[in-house]
Amino acid sequence: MTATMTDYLLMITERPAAATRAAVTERAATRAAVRTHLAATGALVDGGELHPSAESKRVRRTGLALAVEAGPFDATLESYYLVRTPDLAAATALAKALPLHPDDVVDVRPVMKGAIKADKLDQPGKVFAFAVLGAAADEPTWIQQMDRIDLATHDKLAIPGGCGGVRLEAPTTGRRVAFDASKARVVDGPFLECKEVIGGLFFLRMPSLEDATRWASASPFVALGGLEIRELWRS
Amino acid sequence: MAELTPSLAAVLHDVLGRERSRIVGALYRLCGGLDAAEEALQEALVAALATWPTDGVPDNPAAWLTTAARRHALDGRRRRGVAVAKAPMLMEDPMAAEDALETIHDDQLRLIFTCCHPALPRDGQVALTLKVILGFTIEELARAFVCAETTMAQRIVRAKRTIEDKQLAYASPGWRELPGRTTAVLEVLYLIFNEGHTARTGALARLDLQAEALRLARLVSELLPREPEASGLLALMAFGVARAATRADAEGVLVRLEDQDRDRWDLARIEEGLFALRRARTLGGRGSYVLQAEIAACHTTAPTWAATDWGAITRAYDDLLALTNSPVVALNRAVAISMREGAAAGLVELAPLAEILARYHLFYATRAELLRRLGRDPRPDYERALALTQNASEQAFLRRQIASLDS
Repeated sequence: MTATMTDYLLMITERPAAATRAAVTERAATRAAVRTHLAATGALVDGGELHPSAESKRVRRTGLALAVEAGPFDATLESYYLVRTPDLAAATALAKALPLHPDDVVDVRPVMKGAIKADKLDQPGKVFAFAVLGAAADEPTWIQQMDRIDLATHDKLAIPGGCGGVRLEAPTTGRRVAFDASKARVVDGPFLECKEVIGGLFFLRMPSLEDATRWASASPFVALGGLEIRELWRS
Repeated sequence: MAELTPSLAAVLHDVLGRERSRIVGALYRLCGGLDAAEEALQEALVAALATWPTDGVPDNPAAWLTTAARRHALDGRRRRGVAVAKAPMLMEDPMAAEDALETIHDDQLRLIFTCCHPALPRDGQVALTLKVILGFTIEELARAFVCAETTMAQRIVRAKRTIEDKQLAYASPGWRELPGRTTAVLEVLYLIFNEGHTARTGALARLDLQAEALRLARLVSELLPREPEASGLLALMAFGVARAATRADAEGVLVRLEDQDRDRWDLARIEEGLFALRRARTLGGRGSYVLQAEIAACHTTAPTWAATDWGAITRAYDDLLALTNSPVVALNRAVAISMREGAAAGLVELAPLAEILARYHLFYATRAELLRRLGRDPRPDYERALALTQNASEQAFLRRQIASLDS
């Protein structure tokens, strides 16, 4: 019997900017360990680490006014790992076993559709991750918002420099793994607290953050939701 | 012409700082010559100064400048009677082409590879890279390399003439793959960085030159993502820049690594260095820049001088020595050994270097340190080191060391 495999996105939450050399080094070692660990499980499809949110932009449009906000941002992505497992429990188990540290948080979310090009860094140039953000009072409203964005944008990413992307299922279909001193606790998917929640992640090759911001500003994403633009580390 | 208002100057400075190589790279392809490309950019800047104050800064200043410069290049060719039909490439819009990203990368690489062409003398490569790619003026270059402006101008003219006479630009497919090209580019970057790291005369580090070299290294490692040495060099520079502010004290006197205030090292640059180094390792690199970056990483991540991983550093120096057979590497390896096995062991390693490094001030400064740690008289070596260096900051440091022997 062959089990159907599903893609899940593991999203490690960014910590506040490290304040000591030791912390920077330790975090670099942690990231390397996480990737090595996941590669060894055979479940890893693609993964990447992002430049700090302090070097990033968020773009949204309210009415006619365009708002471009400079990072750092709270509780945003540090790195993402796309894994393929039989079910949510298996993906959550992978997240729980990651060599992370107290206060780390990993969100596990089923992928609704899409794929990320794993060879996107093989060519020269910068690659930017665009996180699609939605803010809504409750989940049904959030899902409606994401559906609208999806409808308006599904044909907008097949452009030169496009490196694929995924749309995620709603937050409550996922799990949150919170690490504390002794163990990793699993809680239900993140609840909407009127703050922006990620609904998708896609990748584009762009010459610079300025170009990426300019592209984002003119896209339908920012009229219906928000985009956070993060450069991918070459690693 | 309109006044160069502070905000307009800031906008132009910012745009050129980020986009200069992209703009000049495209213009070089369109115009076919470095002089013509630089001239076209100058014309575009003049046009920007004339129109931006009244029309406002365009949404995409870099694209505006490129388009304006392209128009001037086209006019120039018309004036010189070159049929436009013979130059169809002038008609395309470099910013709107379907393969714009690939074109931009090729343009930038071609520009850098041309400026660092192995057929040019080393000083010509360095001067041309700083002038054409980073936009240094002749005056700034003359100041940075302590020579007369006329000398620097001649150097640039000679280098450009060599390129034109020998048609050194690469246009054929596969030009990127040519062996030795990348090596030359990295060497030029390394030289620029080191010039900033230890200026031969004057203040210890010219931070701006180092920052520019780091910027170039970022660009080159992006343009050559599969080249481990490019990532290694980026890592090496990032670690160097992370420590730059602590290398001299308030009076400009050299502060040794062991005495530097590690709390003031720039964590963002350390992080950048660690990423670049990991990338180089992933690519399987164990070349000279990667090894030097590994040594720098050991230093930059160590909590204190004493708690440094001297074993790892010695191993990296072993590999580096096997690779380069350089006496200066052997000197640094001796320091690492002295930290792991004691000053006496370090002196044993230094002994065979005495002849070949007889004119190198750091040999004597190093030996003086080891003698001092063993309770022997370091004064003659300190004095020889002092006589051999022209760097004012190092001289001040050595004078302090000698003075401290008297007290």
